[in-house]
Amino acid sequence: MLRSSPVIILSAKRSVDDRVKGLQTGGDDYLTKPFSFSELLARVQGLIRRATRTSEPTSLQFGDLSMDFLTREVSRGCKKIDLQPREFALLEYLMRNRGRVVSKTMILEHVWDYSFDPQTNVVDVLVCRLRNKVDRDFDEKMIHTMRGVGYVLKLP
Amino acid sequence: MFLSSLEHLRGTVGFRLTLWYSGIFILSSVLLFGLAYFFLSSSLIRKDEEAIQVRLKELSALYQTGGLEYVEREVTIEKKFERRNSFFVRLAGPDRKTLLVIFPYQWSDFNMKELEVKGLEADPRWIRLPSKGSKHFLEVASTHLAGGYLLQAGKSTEERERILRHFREIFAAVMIPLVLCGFIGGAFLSTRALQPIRHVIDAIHSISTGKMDARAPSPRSGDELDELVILFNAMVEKIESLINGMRGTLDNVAHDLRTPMMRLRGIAEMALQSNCSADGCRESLADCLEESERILEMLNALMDISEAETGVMKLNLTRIHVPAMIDEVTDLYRYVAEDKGIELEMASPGDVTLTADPARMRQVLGNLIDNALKYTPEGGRVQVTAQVRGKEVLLGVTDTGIGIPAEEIPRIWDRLYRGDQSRSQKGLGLGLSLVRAIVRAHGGEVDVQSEPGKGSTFTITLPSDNLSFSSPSIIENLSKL
Repeated sequence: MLRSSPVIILSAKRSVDDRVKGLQTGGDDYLTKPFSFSELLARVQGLIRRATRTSEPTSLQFGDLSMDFLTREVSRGCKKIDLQPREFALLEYLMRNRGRVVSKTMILEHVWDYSFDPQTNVVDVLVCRLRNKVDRDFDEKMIHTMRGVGYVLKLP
Repeated sequence: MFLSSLEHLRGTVGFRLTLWYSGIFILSSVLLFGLAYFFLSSSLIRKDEEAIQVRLKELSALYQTGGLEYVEREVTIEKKFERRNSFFVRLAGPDRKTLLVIFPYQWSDFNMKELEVKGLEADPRWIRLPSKGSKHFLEVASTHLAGGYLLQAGKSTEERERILRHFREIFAAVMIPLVLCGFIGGAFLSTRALQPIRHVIDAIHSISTGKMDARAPSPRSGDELDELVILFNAMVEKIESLINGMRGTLDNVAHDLRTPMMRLRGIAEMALQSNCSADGCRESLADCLEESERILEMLNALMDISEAETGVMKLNLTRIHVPAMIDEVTDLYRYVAEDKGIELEMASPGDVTLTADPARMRQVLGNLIDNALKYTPEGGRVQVTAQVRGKEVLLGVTDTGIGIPAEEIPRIWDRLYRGDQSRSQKGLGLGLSLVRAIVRAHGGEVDVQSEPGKGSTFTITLPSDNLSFSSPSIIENLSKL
């Protein structure tokens, strides 16, 4: 059990070197202070998921939103939704973390593989596009903004 | 006071060098004089001995030709004239009793009785007879004549000793100024040689009392000490720039963070004072969170800028394929451009490479593209270019945006400066400062050409082979501060 325990490093040292050192010396994830608790929670759950090696489902259903990661088909209700690659990646990330808040940094890391904050609104723009496709034509909105924290996919 | 300064002097390298120098100088002169003295005295002794022997032979030859009479006559004549360079001559009978003696009057007194006694012994060729008071010696050679007579001739060492004393006096007279010369020369040489070190020490003393601008003057001799002084000055220069940079950053950060902190405080205070509903309070809390996020962003950006400006930013230099990097960064902004109806394109020849920190370069390009997209109206165009010019790589971001008024251009690089037209846009006012700091940390330069209403072009010039720049560029970079 101990051997497989994942490690997350919480540190005020934010330089690339410090991060690389932290990850090389056995950390599975690295989070710099100050961080949001929901982000810590999401990262911890991600680590646990990976550590327990529960196989990732190939398709997910959340509310009336369903997603097939193999055929890359997305539909809400009976309406098919066409997503571009980054939009699909974001929705997949939100789906896998449904009910949990993910921060902009996490989205940048996950969708673009970008490890530092470029301090732009690119995430907002991507979320906005995804919202237009997933939520606009429906009364029940699923993608919610948690101001100052991030975004969450949840049922009303 | 004098004693303590003397005590201090004794501990200095200069003093020790002087001592060594003058010690060796004096020792070698003493050795030289000693040798000369030795050769002089031995040659004088030899000369005296030869003269005595010659005299002895002369007298014994006289004896052979004319017997005792001849010898007596010769001796008497000699005694009469009292030649200055005369000899002691003694003739003894077979019973060892003195028959005849001449003794130059200017010599000290010797105990002649000794000779009569000594002569009885086993016939030594040389007898040394001390004077009364043992100051001089009478050196006597003896020879036996036919008929049992003993003939002795000798000389006092007085003459010889006078010459040697004279020599010693000259030596002393020369040695005293020589020692002085050696000491002064040594002191002069060591003072001169060690002057740069003393300048460095003085500079360090000044610096430790807070005068950061103290420098040691370079002797410009091109030797190791000159190099030491130059390196020392460069090091102090660097430290001073670093300290100034850090101090400036600290001031800036403190100042810049006060405004958002004030807002944060304001929001919280307002929420506490008003009897707001749960929703209103939640709204305020969210505002607080956003504001704290902004503070963090600002802090990070300010730290990055100051790190880059002071040269302490660690650059992870790797070979970058520029078109691939531009692809990556433009990909990040594709949706932003698409949503605004702006054409974001790349124009670059296939094979441009660059040695730089990839993450920092992405940050630089990202910031420029972000700006270009922000200030370009719908239907516009943003073009990212890369080209090689000689040993440089030029990266350009051209937009068809609102442009920058000429009077604002010099100020756009300032920390937290925001032009009139940019205030409506979201941002910290740190993007361009960061761009310039990072580019300069790479030994490059960034420039802008802009025409209000038509658009702007930001051009980054970077050395394509950045392998050797690490330290000189830092110093160069510091000098620009």
